[in-house]
Amino acid sequence: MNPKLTRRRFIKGVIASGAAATTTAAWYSATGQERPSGFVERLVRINVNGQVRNVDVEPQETLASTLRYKLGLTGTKLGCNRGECGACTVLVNDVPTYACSVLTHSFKNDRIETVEGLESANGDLHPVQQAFVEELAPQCGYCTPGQIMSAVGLLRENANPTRDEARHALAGNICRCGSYDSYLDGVMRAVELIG
Amino acid sequence: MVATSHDVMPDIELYQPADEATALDLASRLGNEGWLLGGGQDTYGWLKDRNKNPSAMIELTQIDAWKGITETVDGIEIGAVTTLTDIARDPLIQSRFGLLAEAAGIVASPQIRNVGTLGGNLIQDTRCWYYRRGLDCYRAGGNICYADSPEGLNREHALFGASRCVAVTPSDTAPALVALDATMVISSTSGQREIPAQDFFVGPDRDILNMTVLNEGEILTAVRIPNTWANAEFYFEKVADRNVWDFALVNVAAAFRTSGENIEDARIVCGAVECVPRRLQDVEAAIRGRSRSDSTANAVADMATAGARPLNYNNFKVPLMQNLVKRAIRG
Amino acid sequence: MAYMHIGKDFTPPDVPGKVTGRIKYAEDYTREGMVYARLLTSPIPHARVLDIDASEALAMDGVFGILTADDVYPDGEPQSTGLKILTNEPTLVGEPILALAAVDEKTAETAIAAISVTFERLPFVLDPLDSLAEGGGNAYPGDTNTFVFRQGFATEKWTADQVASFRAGNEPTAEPQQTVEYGDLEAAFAESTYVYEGTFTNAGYPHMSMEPRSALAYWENGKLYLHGGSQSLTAFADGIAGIIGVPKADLVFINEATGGGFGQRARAGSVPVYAVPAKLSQKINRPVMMRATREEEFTIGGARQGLTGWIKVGFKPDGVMAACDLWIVSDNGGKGGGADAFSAADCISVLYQTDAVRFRGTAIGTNTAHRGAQRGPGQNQIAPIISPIMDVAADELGVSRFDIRKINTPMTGDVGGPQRIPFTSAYMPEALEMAGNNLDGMNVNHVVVSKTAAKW
Ligand SMILES: Cc1cc2nc3c(=O)[nH]c(=O)nc-3n(C[C@H](O)[C@H](O)[C@H](O)COP(=O)(O)OP(=O)(O)OC[C@H]3O[C@@H](n4cnc5c(N)ncnc54)[C@H](O)[C@@H]3O)c2cc1C
Ligand code: SF4
Ligand code: FES
Ligand code: FES
Repeated sequence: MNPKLTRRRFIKGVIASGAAATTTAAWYSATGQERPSGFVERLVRINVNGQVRNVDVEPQETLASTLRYKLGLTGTKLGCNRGECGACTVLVNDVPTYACSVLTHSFKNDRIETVEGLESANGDLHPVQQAFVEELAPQCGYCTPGQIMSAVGLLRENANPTRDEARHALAGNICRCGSYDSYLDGVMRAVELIG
Repeated sequence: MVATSHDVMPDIELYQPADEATALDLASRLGNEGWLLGGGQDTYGWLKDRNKNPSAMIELTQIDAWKGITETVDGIEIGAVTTLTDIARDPLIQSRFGLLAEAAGIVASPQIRNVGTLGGNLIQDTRCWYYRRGLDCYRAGGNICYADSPEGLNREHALFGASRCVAVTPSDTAPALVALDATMVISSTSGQREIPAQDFFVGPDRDILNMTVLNEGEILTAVRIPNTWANAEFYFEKVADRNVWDFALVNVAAAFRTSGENIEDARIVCGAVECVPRRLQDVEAAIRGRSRSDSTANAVADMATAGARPLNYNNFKVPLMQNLVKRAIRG
Repeated sequence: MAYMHIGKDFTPPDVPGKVTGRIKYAEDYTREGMVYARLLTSPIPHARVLDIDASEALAMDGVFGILTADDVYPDGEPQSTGLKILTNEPTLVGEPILALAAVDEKTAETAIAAISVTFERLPFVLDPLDSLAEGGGNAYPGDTNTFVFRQGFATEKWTADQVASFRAGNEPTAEPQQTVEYGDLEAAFAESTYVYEGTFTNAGYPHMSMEPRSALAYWENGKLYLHGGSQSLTAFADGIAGIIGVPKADLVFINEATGGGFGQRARAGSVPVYAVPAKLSQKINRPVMMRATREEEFTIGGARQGLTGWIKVGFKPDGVMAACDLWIVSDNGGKGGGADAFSAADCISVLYQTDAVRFRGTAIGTNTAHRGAQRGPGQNQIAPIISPIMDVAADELGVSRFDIRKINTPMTGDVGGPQRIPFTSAYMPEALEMAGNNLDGMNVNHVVVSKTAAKW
């Protein structure tokens, strides 16, 4: 089916029924239509790594696109863009989330953290980062930011996980280099570093 | 004819209603041009592939009234937009309906469970790849089934209930809720109705285009679980190619009430063998009054798959399903 | 002599950047004015492009241009196997036909959907044995199904009986394309008290490195700046310059980090798609970023060769592998590539110190993913075949499954392969000993069996 046709048919349909929708506020003022409630504004404020950022976000935009292409936070990787690899894992209110498979608009009131936000103000690595360095956990490194975010999410929730709990917490992060055991070593070392 | 590999979200409107009335109103007004959005984990694949092209998404997860787990007089009620992680970790569900906690905790991957909702997990569409690929099969309104053709790859498809379409239910939580005699609460601008979980899912003989009884404009708002099976003996097991991400090849959700050695009553439900969760009522009847033992399990193994019609590549599901049912009964 | 690194703890310089997200992979760069490209790929396993109508797409807002095989190869496409940058005669599903650049990926995808391509369907084949059979389809251009070194495309057919007999499990009777052997095979089989004979097939799976084959390209002062991932900057830069047709001196290849190679990024020939943004950038005069999708990794990405073979292995009474006779038909995919089958035989010769080995092989194209180097080429395909044969032989001869491996394992000074090359150091016996000690208390002989049994 041609998406454009559907769209045109739809827009025509809703205009007729009095519930118009479009992506820009300007359209409403231009047509004099009343905006239906619940419709999203494009200009949003999102809290990323402790900073509130104003961004123009399209309604369908994924969080990964906003982070990578609008905010330049390219530490968040795209391995599949489909929820099947974990390279894009970020924390939303401390909860590991696939940034490729959520909408930025869903998180306007939430705390988003990426790998770039983990170092302390004086440049010290986060204990998980430090532990991953000490264990030389990364190989190619492409999955590493995602593994780190999953590990940080785990440790915030459970400061003293067993190796098996760590394995389950990192289960949603593929490593094609097969560095799984080293990442688990890293998590267990991070537990020690945090003390 | 062209082919391109899509993985970017296309243009589409987004509504984020903050209250029930607005959501129901939008659902009714937008009809099939509006796509209800839970956690989006089933949705975004369809949209990125551009194989489903609705004009707007109506996000349900901002509505607090449809979120959370509450105790009721005769059981519990789970809001439809509660995440699978919240369900898997809820102390009340864990202690009383561990079967559901286990099923919810084995879906997909941790990150998907962190945003995926119970409603979305129950209402998600089938994973038949011909259909997902956007081919014009029966389920997509065409008149061929690619999976059930001489060269079709149907390792993951149905053993039972084929009717032109041989796709299966992908949900891990659905069999658990059928086993627990849950009720689905459905709302629309014209009111509310309640449907037993077992009747919520529909096979292709009744409706080849939809997997549930939901009509346009209707929203699943809650799932109620009566205390009938609270603290029963439960068994859940899922077999998939990988422990994470992969959908069940077969899963089993079972609940037993025993008195002394003997089974008083049971529910045994398998997923991924039919378009709907398959309740094994004959087996449930046959094991009543018997013990949870190898001999009981062996006695009903064949009955568990009676009537199975394997396709070219899914014969293995017959012994797999038998083994899972046996393991459930044995405990 | 004091070593700089050996025996010391140190942090490789790439590691901190990998844990902070600061290290850059190709897709992490941006360039002012950068636009985004997407591919239109073949939906058909073997076809010829008759016509491309992109007028509607080119008229869309935010679309900057397209690149086709005619742009890339004005004098005609190269007549050889191997991936092309773009093609008008795709020999596998997913082969790139054209690329389109737009203001963002979403617009590019939408515009591509508006392009209409007219294809002529050509016969295709998915199984090398189907192609070998008389009357079977041929994967390559010009109705050919194989590529002979220094000679070019050719067509190879067996009689229907020969194919049927091989399918039925018998030793192929056709002439192989390649034969390599050492030792006296007949004598070695004569010494054998247990002989295993059987056939096998394995699929050639893709690499799937975590980073897709994305690339960014732009031109400045006559120089091409290309960001891409590779397994070796020096080995790669030459190749990609040649593919793009730019003097090496005019190519600046930037590769800070690579998100996995596994063989596919060793040679530029496996990733000619990096040339797409380079050429497109030249044509539209803008920096072009092209991110590959995961699905494209399955099609424009390579795979191992799939091997279908007949194997006969002889063991002496004490478990020593005396002889191995191996006949393999390799699935060379839609673009040729790979010599895994011979490496499989080589691997048996090295790992089991076989007295006599004969390898015979034929490689045939199919309209599936292109084949190429993947870590452990051949060795990985033959391991799951030969290992159970070792177990069966051990059981038949009454030797333990552990001992049969120890008996046959190479040691320092042993030789391997047809050239009988000596090993300067080999520590398999020690490794096996250590493994045996760690398995202490378990019945090593039956580890494999009891593990599976425990599951049910
Ligand atoms: C990589 C991957 C692996 C997966 N593996 C598994 C698995 O192993 N087991 C499993 O069970 N699932 C699996 N899934 C599916 C996933 O669990 C479900 O897609 C998820 O639970 C759906 O929840 P959601 O809220 O994200 O759904 P959404 O995508 O938001 O919704 C799914 C569908 O339900 C409709 N819907 C949602 N909520 C409501 C409502 N309240 N009322 C009416 N309609 C509604 C939507 O319109 C849509 O059609 C997998 C998904 C992915 C992407
Ligand atoms: S099984 Fe159903 S969904 Fe799959 S191809 Fe057949 S009709 Fe379509
Ligand atoms: S990129 Fe998000 S899960 Fe793979
Ligand atoms: S380190 Fe390469 S994918 Fe994990």
